[in-house]
Amino acid sequence: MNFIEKIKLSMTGVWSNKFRSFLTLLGVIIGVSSVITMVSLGSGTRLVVGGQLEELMGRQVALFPNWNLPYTQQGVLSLEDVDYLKESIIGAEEVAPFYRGWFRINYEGREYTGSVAGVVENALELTNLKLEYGRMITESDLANHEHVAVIGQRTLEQLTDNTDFASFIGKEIEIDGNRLLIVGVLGIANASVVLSNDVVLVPLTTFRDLWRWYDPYNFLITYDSKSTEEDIINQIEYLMNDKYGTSRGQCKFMPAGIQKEINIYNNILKILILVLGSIAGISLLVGGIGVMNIMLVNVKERTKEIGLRKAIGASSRDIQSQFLIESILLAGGGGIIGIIIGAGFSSLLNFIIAHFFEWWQGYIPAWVILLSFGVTTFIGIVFGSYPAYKASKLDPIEALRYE
Amino acid sequence: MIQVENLTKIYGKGEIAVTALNQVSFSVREGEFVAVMGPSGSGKTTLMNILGCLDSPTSGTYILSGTDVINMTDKELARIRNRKIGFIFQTFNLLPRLTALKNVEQPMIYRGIRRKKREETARKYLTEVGLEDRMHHLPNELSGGQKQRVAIARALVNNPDIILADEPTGNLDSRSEKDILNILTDLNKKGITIIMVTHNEKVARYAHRIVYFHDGEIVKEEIVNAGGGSIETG
Repeated sequence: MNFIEKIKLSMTGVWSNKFRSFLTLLGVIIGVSSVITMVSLGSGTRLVVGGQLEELMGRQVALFPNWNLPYTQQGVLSLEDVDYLKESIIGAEEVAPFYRGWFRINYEGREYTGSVAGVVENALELTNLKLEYGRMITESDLANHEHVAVIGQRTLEQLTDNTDFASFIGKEIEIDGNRLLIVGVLGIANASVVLSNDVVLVPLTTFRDLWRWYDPYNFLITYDSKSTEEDIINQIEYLMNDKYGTSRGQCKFMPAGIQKEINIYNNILKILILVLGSIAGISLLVGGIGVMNIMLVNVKERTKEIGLRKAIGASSRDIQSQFLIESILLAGGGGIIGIIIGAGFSSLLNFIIAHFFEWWQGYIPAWVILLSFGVTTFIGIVFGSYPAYKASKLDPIEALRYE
Repeated sequence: MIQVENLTKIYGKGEIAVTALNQVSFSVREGEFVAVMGPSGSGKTTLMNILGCLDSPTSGTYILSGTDVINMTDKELARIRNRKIGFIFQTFNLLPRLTALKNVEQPMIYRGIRRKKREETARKYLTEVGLEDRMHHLPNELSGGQKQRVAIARALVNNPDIILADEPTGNLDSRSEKDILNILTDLNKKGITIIMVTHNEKVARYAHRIVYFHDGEIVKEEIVNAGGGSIETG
């Protein structure tokens, strides 16, 4: 008896009880779709949090005046501190000063109050913002205090209905009454903690000329992969206290990392995975017991068939494999249905989430589909073994007599 | 063809032990048609099960076509049931979800015969038992006599040497009974050895020889029709 015949034989068994088979498999179906949804959602956040955020954005600390102190006692960063910190912090890669403020932005009569940042030429590398069209602020812009701006797409969307963003290069906008020339447009990129897409970048020197009364400098400090955020923050506090002293026992400056935020992301992710994982695990177990239950019923129901098959030449092994394959087909079939439902459900979820968070990149990895299929097949083997063994051990005479 | 000696079968142990067969010695020649008679519990079905390699005796020897089957493995016994023996049951034992044709194909599946060849062979035997127009019917669409004819076709597809029939006409009306017995007689004439268990003296009369069982022992043997062939029962 060859293998294909065995599968065909078992197929008739599954197919003759379609509805019952389907009900039995609900557990397996729910389990598999949970696993797929879980992995898909997990992959979405991990791609962002674990990938870009952690690698590019994660290793940075922003340094602000300590807003918890009374205004007069807050530290004021100076440009000298750029070199001071860069040379003193062990593990520091870049120290970039930046300004940040909120201003009225006008474009052809439409007004929007948005974020404006004064930055140096390497701000893009430090913040993971992406230039889509035109050019970035250059050293000569900084040196000449040029009135130029690199504007984010999100801000542009607030100011105009025109989506041909490249056409804005060379146009002028008005920020707080000052006219600036648009030289570049920022594309949609993963969110940055300090600077988002919804921003207008201007040269640091220009910002200082126009709004120096507005706010003191802030720093963005990036560090290498060998250092930890905690260590960098401790160093910053030590160095700043050493230079500026403390106020009421507190540092006059406030270094802020984003590891805490990343940890919150990761914790939410962990809880999500735990919840979905438990649902998956429990339903797969319940599904497996369901498979075993239905296979025992099958064996009982078909006692007479087993007796007859033995009489016409089936060995115990033939009977055992018939029922084992039936159980594998049953569980594996549930796995396939689960994969389809899970894929559909997670695609829908990813679509919805991506609608709210543009950085979301959920997808369904191929390995989880293979794994789900493998696990359900395994469940078929594990929970089908006992019923199949029982079937093979039936006494043919009693089986034939069974009514 | 069949030679059993001192065959004993005891069910259970100790005080509740029941002796179903007690030192039975018995032989069947090739091409013979033997009827086994006796009241319920006389051991005739136990004998059939042992002869059919479905059950093993507690003690004694069983030589089938020159080979000792007592110590065979499960797989070897399955092979013998598949190729040398054809079973016919009182309750037909057709698989309810399969058509007549598929039912007849089943024994060939275990023999490893390809689908095309299986279908061809099954058609041939169903035609032979007069069911060429019922091949695609399910068992519950067939009459008792037709069901038993499907079962006979199924018993024949692997060219068995022996047919073991356990009350083959027990559930049939007298007209179907006659049909079935005539088919069996024809098969016997073609050289197939037939052993048939029955309650019915009239049915038993179709055989060459009747063996009477009582309390697990052979109490009488009677040669009724040395030449074989059918006898008018009307």
